[in-house]
Amino acid sequence: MKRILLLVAIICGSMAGFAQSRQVKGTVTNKEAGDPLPGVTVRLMNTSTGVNTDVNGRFTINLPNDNAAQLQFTYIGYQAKVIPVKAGQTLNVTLEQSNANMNEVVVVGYGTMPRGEFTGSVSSINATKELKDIPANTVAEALAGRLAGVQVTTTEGRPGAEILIRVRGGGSITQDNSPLYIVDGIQVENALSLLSPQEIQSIDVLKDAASTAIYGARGANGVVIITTKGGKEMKTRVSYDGYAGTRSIVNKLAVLKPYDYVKYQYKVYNYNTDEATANSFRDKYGRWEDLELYRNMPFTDWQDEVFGRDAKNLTNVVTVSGGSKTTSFNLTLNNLKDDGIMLESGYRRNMLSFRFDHQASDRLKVGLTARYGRQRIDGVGTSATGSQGTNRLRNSVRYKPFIGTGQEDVVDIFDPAYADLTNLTSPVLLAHNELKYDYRNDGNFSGYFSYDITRDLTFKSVAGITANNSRANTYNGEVTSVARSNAGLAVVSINTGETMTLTNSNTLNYKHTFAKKHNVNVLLGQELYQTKATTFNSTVKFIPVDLSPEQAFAGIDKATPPSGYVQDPATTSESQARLISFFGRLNYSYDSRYMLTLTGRYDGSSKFNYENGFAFFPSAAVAWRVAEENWFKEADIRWLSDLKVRASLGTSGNNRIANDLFRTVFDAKNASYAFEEAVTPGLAPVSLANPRLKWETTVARNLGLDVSFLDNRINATVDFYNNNTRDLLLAAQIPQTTGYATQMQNIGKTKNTGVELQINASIFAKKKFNWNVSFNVAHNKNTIVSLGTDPSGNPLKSYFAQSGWVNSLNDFLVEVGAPIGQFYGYVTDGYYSVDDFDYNPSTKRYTLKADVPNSGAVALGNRDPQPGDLKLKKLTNDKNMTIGANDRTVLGNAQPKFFGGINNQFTWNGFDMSIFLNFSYGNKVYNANRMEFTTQYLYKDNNLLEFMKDQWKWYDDNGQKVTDPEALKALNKDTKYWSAPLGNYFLHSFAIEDGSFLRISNITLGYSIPEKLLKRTNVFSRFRVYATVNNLHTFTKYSGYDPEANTRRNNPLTPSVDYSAYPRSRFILAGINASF
Amino acid sequence: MLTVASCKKYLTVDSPSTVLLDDTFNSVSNTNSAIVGTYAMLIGDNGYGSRIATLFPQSADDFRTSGDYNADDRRGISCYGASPANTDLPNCFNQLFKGIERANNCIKYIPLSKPYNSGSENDKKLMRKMLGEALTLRAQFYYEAVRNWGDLPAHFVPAADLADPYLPRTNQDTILDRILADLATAEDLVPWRSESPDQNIRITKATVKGLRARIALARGGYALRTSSKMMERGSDYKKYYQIAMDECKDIMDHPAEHSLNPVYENLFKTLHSAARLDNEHELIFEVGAFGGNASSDSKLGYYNGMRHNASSKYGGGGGGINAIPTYFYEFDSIGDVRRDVTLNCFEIDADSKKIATTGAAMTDGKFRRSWTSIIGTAQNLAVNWPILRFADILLMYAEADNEINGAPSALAQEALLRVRKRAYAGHEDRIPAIPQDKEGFFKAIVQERLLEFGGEGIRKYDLIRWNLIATKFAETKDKLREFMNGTGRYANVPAYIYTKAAEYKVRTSAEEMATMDLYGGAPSKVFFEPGLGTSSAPSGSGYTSKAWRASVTEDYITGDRKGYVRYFEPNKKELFPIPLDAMNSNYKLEQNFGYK
Repeated sequence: MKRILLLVAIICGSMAGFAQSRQVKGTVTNKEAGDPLPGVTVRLMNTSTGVNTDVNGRFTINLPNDNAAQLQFTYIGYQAKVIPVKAGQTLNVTLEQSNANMNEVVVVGYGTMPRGEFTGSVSSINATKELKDIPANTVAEALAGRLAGVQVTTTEGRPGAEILIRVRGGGSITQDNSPLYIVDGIQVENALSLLSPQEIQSIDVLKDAASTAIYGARGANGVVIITTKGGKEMKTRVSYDGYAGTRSIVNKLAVLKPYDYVKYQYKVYNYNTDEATANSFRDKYGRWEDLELYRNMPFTDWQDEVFGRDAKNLTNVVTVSGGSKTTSFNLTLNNLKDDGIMLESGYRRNMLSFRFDHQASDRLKVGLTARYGRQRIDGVGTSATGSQGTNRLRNSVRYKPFIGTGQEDVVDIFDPAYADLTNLTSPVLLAHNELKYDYRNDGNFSGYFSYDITRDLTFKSVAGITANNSRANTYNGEVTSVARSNAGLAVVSINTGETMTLTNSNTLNYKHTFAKKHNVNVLLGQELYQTKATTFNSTVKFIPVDLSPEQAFAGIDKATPPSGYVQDPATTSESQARLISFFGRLNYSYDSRYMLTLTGRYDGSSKFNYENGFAFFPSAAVAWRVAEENWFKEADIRWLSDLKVRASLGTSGNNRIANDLFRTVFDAKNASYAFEEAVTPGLAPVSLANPRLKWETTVARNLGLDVSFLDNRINATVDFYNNNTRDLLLAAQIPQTTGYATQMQNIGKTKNTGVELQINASIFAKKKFNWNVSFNVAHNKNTIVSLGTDPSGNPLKSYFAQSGWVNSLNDFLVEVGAPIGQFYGYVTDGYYSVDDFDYNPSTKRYTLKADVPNSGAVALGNRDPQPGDLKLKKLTNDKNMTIGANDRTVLGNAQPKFFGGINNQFTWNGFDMSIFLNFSYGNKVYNANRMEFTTQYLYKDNNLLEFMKDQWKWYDDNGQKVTDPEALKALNKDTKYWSAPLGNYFLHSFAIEDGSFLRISNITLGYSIPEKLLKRTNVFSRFRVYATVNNLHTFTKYSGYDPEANTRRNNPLTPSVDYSAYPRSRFILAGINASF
Repeated sequence: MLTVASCKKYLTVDSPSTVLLDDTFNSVSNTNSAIVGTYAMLIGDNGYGSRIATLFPQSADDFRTSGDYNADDRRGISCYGASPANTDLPNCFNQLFKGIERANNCIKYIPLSKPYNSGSENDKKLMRKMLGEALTLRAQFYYEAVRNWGDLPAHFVPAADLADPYLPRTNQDTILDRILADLATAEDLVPWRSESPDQNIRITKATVKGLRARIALARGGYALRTSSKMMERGSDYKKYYQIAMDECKDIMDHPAEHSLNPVYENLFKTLHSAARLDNEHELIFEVGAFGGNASSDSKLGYYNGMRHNASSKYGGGGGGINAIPTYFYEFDSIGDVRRDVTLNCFEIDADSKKIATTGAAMTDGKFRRSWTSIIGTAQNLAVNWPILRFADILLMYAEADNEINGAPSALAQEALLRVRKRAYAGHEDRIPAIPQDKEGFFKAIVQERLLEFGGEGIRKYDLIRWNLIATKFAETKDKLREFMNGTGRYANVPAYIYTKAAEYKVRTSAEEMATMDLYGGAPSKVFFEPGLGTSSAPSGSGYTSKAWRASVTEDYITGDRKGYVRYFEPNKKELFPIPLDAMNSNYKLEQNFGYK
């Protein structure tokens, strides 16, 4: 059917070229530089007839009759103009750049509207204006810091790393807080990884319920509406954008140098150990007298070996766009090759997108978008969702910092004994033994047709399919712990998944202006949304180690289980979810002064019992455009050029939970038993069903002010909001004696209140020199209002959450009245001094004085404290001086006081420059690396962070243990830190750091060759060269790799944990933009 | 266009990878799968595949966990000083309750199902058997939880039916009474081994009866009581001894179903391989292990059992559990075949040869990696865990009979004798006389169970129900001190032995023991003579010295880090602390008073 439609469209298009009379011709240029403006919409006032200017800014339009008419010229970023014309006239129109956001078009749910009439709260990026000169590999990268109230966090430096986007804090406690993504009217999950930045026209983030309520279901976390570039009526234009650059590690963690390392090992091997252990030090590192040799030992920083390479990036983008009066298209091809800074990591991506719009008749418009992306992410990264034992960064930080004489090949040889003793494997060897190739194919097809039933009434139907399939191939070579626990043979995992999403919406839109002043716009619609996901996962063990990884992936049938072993069975799964919705919206504006929007949406979800599955989400919003009042115009306030006040109240919902949580279903996971020498699969309940589950609902209030100053040169938007989320879908902890740890429940409430400010200013706007600044800052206060009641009817005050990097460590406190993300632990109190002890000269033993807190059980693996051991603060007043669970307290939280960004754009003659900074202030980071890398725990031969060279000393310059109190004091007069603790890792305040930062995120300098010169080439219409530095520098006190790290993301309750994050890189590149 | 009905139809989606509750129990084969899923909670690292079997029963007067004390790991359990945050407790605790929940679902829904009520006769029979299995599994999970933690939140319906999941602790007697009643019901539902399509790879009538006897003895025995904070037993304890006696008698009356395996060693070899060497079906109930993973397989023989060097041809394993050195000398050194099966005083070195261990590093020999066919670095060796065997039935009968009758009946004496006869195979003349009085007979039972079940996770719980745990710990410490000093019965025990690697051919335990290469002659001589007493082997002899008596030091007996049952406190530490996670998730749960 679609094919026929397309054919019809093409035929119609080709017939449209007959010359006609009553023409008006003209050229549109911009006022500042006099350049022609392509793509300007030229419309006959009060009709739907309109054309676009071509690449040279020229247009031709036919008047319906010989009467005089009015032409309206609109162009994004420029002030609209209305000019009276007569047939046959030739016009030269100049448009003035608009600084007034008010005149821009805002994309709202299922339609667009002028910003001036918009009653909700939205942050927008006009990509063609704000991002065009800045190379970005991903859309998310391009967004960071640019939108007020939208927090974009790159979780780590890994290629393809997850980017978290939070609109106004996010209301859910344990559920996904990601916003909803709508691409050209179609809901698309993972939209940010599916689109290339170059194909984006604009991004509008709807923030308040008045604007999100039309998306009712799932709109609670904000809606990101992405509009892609279409073609225009113009000569077909080919553009090429390409850049090449290099990534390199920004900073490293300083570790002990060889000499300090062996001295530390001397202490580890000798202090409180047996003779055999002490003797083994000599075998490994030599005698004390020889340790001086280590002063000259070349230092090997394994972080350099693993993350130190200059990673190349090459990106090529080709865009072909063009169109006739009736048909337009845009084709984008995007090819990216990006090496990661870590060995064996990288990112490859090819994307193709094609957008086609066709005006089939005066009434019928059809369009089609097809998008295909193929990407491959290489590398296992450094972090894992598991606990301490599964992370990889520790090998690069803790492996012994030198390559001993005769051990030069140690990088390539695996020593099982060393791995068992130290929990470490040579990081370089491991990097080459743990390989992962993550392949994704994404296809996204959507089409629409819109039919004007009457001049005022339009029917539009949009349908889309998003199909994704992914395959992750993982290879664990013989030195990996996975292989070692499987007969020392390689293990290959092939995990594949397929997701198919279908969506269809049908809307009826009625627009009419009554009596010239009453503007009415009514929308009625219905939508279906369904996803189906299937997986096939197979882990094949016992792959012969002499097969290369490629051979292993290509021939898993070569696996040979040794006698007595069996392969794990492959697993498959299938799940489906559906959503059905009915919605309506009324926009009414009177005389462009008073605006009212009413929205309602009724959603039903398959994730709940049918009886609870439907919810109604209403909203209302009003706006008053003060600047349109006659008294305001008459007052003629020069400095105040526009003013609008907005207020809204509405609700939206969230259902992002797993399927079938409302009923008991059985599956075969973790239910197998071996009666004999074979495994019989069984069935077990998946979860503790909760038949009462229903929608989570956010009630959002917003008060906004849009104001423009000084002839629209400065625009400011301020929004105050208060979002209350109730019936939180919470994986509530329930007693394990039920047989389950959690149950999904609708309990608790959260509140997000905040203020956002966005300012755009044209500081300097002359023909030769332009300086624009856009600045945004937001403050959000998240508060847990209620966690429901405990069964005895009392309000539940708090519970613990575990980030999980150490098993069973309750390091987060979820507490009523406090924000999400409170770090919970002990308070560091330096180290025990000699004076904290009674010394018995005859036994040479130190005994802790009775009135000194004893941190032995918590920090020291149940050993009695000795001088130099880590001391913790006693916070309770009981007589027992043993530090215990009650001595923990809240150590800070991850919530920033404010965050935002500043973008400066300059142009001078052909030069352009932009400097983009983003910042966050007042957030704390939980530096778990710092805990692990300063603790000895069970392991010898592990390196420490460099500052630990100033740790407590027990051995004097002769390698003799000092026990005499005075001598010990003298030996430790410069000591700054405690002895690396022997207890298991835990959280104390030493790990909580100020994560405030100011990042020079992007500096770009470009030069465009003047058009006069270009014209002579007869090839190029635009040619620009530029150079960029991304992530140039971050001003921060934070001691880890990067304060934005967030590696324990499985649980939204445990944000801002920097544990084993992949280091961030600096990216320097140069590129060209050329149009032909 | 879109009616309410079509809306409902659109929004009702069932995933083909899951099964709805109704579909589960209205199908015999799905019900069987749900029962399999319940069995599944027996095994794995957090079940009898490792932690519950090998960590929880330590220490008693037979074995202890290797390594130095740490409150947060397995050594904390073994030293009776586990902290509530101990990482080896919570997953086991949770798995037992997962098993209970899975059983609860089966127990509720099987009797409501179509095949149970109106299926074919065969369907009905199968459904009844499966209901019995579910009841028995639930009893085993509860019994395991109660003997380790005491009073616990108990529920006998699916968690979804609980009005309030926050349950306070139920008295352990109430829980045990309930499961004893459940097992009485299950007895009638589950067929004898020979009548069962599954023989004894699944629960049989003898399993139900044997477990009922064991649980009855525990119910009638001593336990740490919350109310009195004392080790106590109820005045009506004889009622429970009667149950045990009757149940055991019934099993003994069916000799064709289960009887003693004449070769003690074959019982344990049977656990290690597919080839069963147990035609008498002495192994009444084992927990199956297979699949090479942490959930359906076991780490028996890898964590515990005879130590094998990782470079040996068998692969590495064993050594996680060490014998109390004096345990070696509890056995009759000439007649008792059980010693060399139960204890390994040698390990397998990198050249796959056997070499003597020190006195304190002997291992539990009923588990041996070299008895499996699995080599390399694998940690899962598909070794089953024995829950119940016929010898236990005999000894439980003897014990209960003695208690009920005030003195051992002829049948009780006969039962003890049967166990001893098998143990002294070939040396029947050395079988000790069977005491005729109640006291003497009880003592004989106490000793016989030490010798018969060493390393099978039974001893600690026996000592607790007899209220002998503190006494035996004190006795063992005294013995260890005598051992260290070479006094009393250990006067002739060597301080050092000198060993050379000898061929290890995986023959019988007795043969392997006899062919150890020790300086000074055969092991039967060397371990019972003072020898040279020097810490180094005679120079040029090629022998390596191993501390034997000298491996026990005061540190081993009382040291803070190595001391035997160092943190045991009577009337406090007989139970484990409730895991911190469980405490945190249920405000009605109180910590065991020994850990407050």
